[in-house]
Amino acid sequence: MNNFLIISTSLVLALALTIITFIFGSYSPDWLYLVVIYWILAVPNSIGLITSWFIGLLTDVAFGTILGSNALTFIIVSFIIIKTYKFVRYLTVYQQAIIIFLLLFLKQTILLWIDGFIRLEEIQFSNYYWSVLTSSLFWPLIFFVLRYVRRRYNVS
Amino acid sequence: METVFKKSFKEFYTFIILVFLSALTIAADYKYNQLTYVRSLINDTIIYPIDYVSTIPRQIVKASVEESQIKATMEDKIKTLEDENLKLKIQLQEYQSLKDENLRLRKISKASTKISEKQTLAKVINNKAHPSKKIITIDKGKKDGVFIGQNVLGLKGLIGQIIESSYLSSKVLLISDLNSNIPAQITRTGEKIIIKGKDKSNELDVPFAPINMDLKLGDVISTSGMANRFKANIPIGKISSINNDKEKKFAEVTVSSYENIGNSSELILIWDYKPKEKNE
Repeated sequence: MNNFLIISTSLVLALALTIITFIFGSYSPDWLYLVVIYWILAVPNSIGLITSWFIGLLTDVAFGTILGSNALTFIIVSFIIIKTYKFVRYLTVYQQAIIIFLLLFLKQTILLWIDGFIRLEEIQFSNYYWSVLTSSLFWPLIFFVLRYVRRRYNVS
Repeated sequence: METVFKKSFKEFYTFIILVFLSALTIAADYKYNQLTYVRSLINDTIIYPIDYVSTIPRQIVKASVEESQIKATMEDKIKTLEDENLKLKIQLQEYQSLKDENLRLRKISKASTKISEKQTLAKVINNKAHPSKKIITIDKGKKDGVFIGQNVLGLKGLIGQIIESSYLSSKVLLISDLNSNIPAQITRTGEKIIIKGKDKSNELDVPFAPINMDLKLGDVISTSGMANRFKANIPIGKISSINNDKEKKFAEVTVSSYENIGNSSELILIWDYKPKEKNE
């Protein structure tokens, strides 16, 4: 119960942060991805694939993208983390940031591919990849804040 | 050992199923537009409350800043408003006679004499609802009868159109977005042009304006009503710069909008015009 409460609160806060940081345009980090990745790394059974699919749908609605595109990238990212958490967990935070960079790069490429396939509007590459850099720069912050929360409220 | 494998396979199969499910949702949303109901449900139950709450701090800061300035500026404001009021009253008299004349002339040419009747004020909840596109959220939705394609105006001119509406809120695509093309005309000559958004918020672009087109600085641009997307004769802005470079194919023309697009806190929805959809 405690787990559920803490994790869902952090997700709601991440969603609020996403909406607030729309002002920074394409530089704003992917807060939801970072939070989900953290919880899967720290408590592997906390967020399953199905939950992350629904979080993806939520992201789609928040961004107004085609319903299902972020859901797809969310399950791909979560699946990779679920399969490799034993390895990623023992890396230092900064090494993890590199892993996050690669994962989110993959995710943005898939999103770009979907958008290119659908082609509703002109595609600007600058809108896609800045968030990857800022997200991986924000990873240490998310990591330490959520680790503090996890230890404080004993989420396991 | 066996259980580990089983668990691993179970995860793998869920993954595959979810990938297919996502592909299906993408197809359903893109090709058949079947999921607007799901989108609007998620929007109303989860996104809208969070959006609403998350903009409260910003509004408080804005309100307190205004509060502190209030005493100093109030008297000035009253004075300028009174001046403006007087000016407008005088102008209104002129307009009244012009309007009558216009009506009379229209009767002769048997053109329609329809003037907007019903309007609704809408409040802006979030003036940046997308990281890269210029989209804002307003607090009127399907419960107020908002429909997709509805024209959104400010006090001085066109602002945008509704692109998505859920039960409680809807999203407005501003005319300054790079992807919004507005059929427009130059009111002085009646020549048809297209207005496109630019990176800067209050400047619009005129693509495909031929070199030496009959344009002057200060020419008023309004919607033309072509393509049935916007109502005709809504003012958009005036021409602020013209650059006739003979080397290029088209002239570079910039239009500065009347409305401070993207920073307004209240918008007007008009009801007497419904854009025709392609499918109908």
